[in-house]
Amino acid sequence: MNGVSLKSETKDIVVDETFPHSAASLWRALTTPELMGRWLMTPADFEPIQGKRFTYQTTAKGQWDGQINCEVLEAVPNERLSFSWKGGHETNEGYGSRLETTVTFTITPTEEGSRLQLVHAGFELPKNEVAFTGMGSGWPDVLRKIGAVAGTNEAL
Amino acid sequence: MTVGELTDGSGVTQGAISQHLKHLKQAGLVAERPAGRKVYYRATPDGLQPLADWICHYDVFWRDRFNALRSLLKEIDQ
Repeated sequence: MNGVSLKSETKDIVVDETFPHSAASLWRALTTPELMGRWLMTPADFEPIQGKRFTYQTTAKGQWDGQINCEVLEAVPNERLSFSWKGGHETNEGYGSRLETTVTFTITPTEEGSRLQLVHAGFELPKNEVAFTGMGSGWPDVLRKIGAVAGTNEAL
Repeated sequence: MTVGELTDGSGVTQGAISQHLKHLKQAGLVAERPAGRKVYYRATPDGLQPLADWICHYDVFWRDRFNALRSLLKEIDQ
């Protein structure tokens, strides 16, 4: 792998919407535990302070107890809240598989109110760490090429 | 598709292609079929399904939550 940068393929979820409310109102809904519980989930031990660890309890599956472990990475009042979002177990597939992700909310004032952008980043192919750490940046091209040919040539 | 065919036009060495295929095979993204002296490879996109399921779960989750947030704000922020 000389000279080839190692990078794994990750996927992000982005939701971007405008609300007819002030940045301060959004911040309150995003960071007040009682309000968080009314639209997201009620967190345990949450405070909007960098380094603060908190959890969410979700539905268990297999060897995973359903707990999401989070840590506040950044908290800028009325602007940005970012926290890690880890859970799952390597013995699960699909829902409940291992997850090491980051959730970031960014609030931007607009004429109509505020824009709220959510980025849930870092979904990696589960259970295939060996494959991904062993691969260089060339593999997506290879996969694409195989896929293109496989799609048009049944003789394969 | 053979390693030779993948090498042609890819600008990557045959050794590198073989390495990639080995990893893709371990990851369940590629299947092989030996035929005589040749080995044919094909993509198996189903290997990506577990990831797609997990992402889909959260995609739906966040969209639902945004709707709930909209209702909540309407209620508390007159």
